[in-house]
Amino acid sequence: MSAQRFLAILVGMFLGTYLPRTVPLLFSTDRPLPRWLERWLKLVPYAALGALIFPGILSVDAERPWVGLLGGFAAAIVAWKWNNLLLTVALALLVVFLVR
Amino acid sequence: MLNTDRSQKTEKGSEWSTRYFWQGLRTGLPIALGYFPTAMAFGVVALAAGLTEKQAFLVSIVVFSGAGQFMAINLMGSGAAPISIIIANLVINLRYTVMSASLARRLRLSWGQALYVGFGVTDETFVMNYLADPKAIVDGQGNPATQGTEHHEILPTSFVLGVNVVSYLGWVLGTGAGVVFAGVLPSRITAGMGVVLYAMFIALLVPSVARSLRIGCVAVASGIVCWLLGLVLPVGWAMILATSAIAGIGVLIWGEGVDSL
Repeated sequence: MSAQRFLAILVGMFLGTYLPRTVPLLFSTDRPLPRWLERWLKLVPYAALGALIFPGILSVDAERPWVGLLGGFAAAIVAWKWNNLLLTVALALLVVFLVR
Repeated sequence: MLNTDRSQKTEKGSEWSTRYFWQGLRTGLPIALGYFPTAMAFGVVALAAGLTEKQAFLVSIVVFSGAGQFMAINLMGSGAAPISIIIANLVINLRYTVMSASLARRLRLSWGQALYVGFGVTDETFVMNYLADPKAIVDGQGNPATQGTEHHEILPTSFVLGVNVVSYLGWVLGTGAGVVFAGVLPSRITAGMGVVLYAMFIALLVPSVARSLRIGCVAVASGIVCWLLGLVLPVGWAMILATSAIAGIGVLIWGEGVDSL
C-alpha cells in the first residue's frame, strides 16, 4: 500500500473515531435534561451491551456459531455465580479452546 | 447558594487525584487483559492484509477502536477505496456518540479534559466507567467519591482516565506483540480469542440483570433486533438503531420505572 493512501486512511479513521466519542463530552452539562431523555440515556448502556454481544458472539468461530454461544453461556453462568470479571473471561476462553 | 454548591461539585469531580487514578487503573486492568490478545490478533491480521509492522502499530496508537480497525483492515485487504473505508469506519463508530452522551451525564469535564478523556471512550471503557460504583471509589481518608445530582452520581475524572489509560496500553502493547510475534503464532491460538471481548460484555451485564430483570429484557431485545437489522444493514447501523430503539421502547413502556433501575 502506498504511504499516501495509508496516511489518508489513517487520518480519516482517526477523525471518524475521535469525533463521535469526544463531541458529546464537550457538551456535558449540569443542567437537568428532560425526564424522558435522562431515562433513555440510562437504558442505553444495557441495550448497547445486548447489541454488542449478539449476534457478534456467533462470529467467534464463523463456521460453527455454537462455539461462541457455548463460551457465552459459560461466561454467563460464571458471572452469575461469582461476579468476577477475570474468572469469567478465563473460563469462557477455556471453554472455547476445549470445544474447538 | 446553589451556584457555590455547583462549583464545588465541579472542582471535586474533575481535580486530579492520583489515588482515584490508581483505582481506575486497577478497575480497567481486566479490559487491558482482554484487549491484549484481541490486539495481538489485529496485528497478525493487519500484516496479512499488507500493512507494514510500523503501519499496523500506528493504526492502533492513533485510532484505538477494535471493531473499526478490524473492519478497515478487511476492506484494505480487499482493495477498497480510502473514502469508503473512512465512511464505513465512521458508521461503525457512530455508536460512540450515544455512549459518550450517556457518560457525559456522569462526568464534570472542562473542554480541555473532554479532548483527552474522549479519546479513551470505547465500548468496554464506557460500560466499565458507567457501571462503576462511585461509593467504592474512596479517597485517602476512606471517604467515597460520590457527589450526586438528582439521578446520577458523578465519577471522578481521574478514575475514568485510569480506566481509559490502562485499556489503551493493553491495546497498543497487544498490537505490538502481535506484530512482533505474527510469524510464530499458530492460528489455533489467535482464532477463538474473540470470545474474550464477549465474555467481558457478559460479565458486565449479568450483575445488572441479577438486580433487575427489566435490564435483561432490554439487553435481549436489543440483541435480537440488532441481529435482525444486521441481515439488511451494515453492522454499525444495526447496533445504533437497535440500541436507540430498544432504549426508547423501554422508556415508553416503563416510564417512571426506569428511574429506579
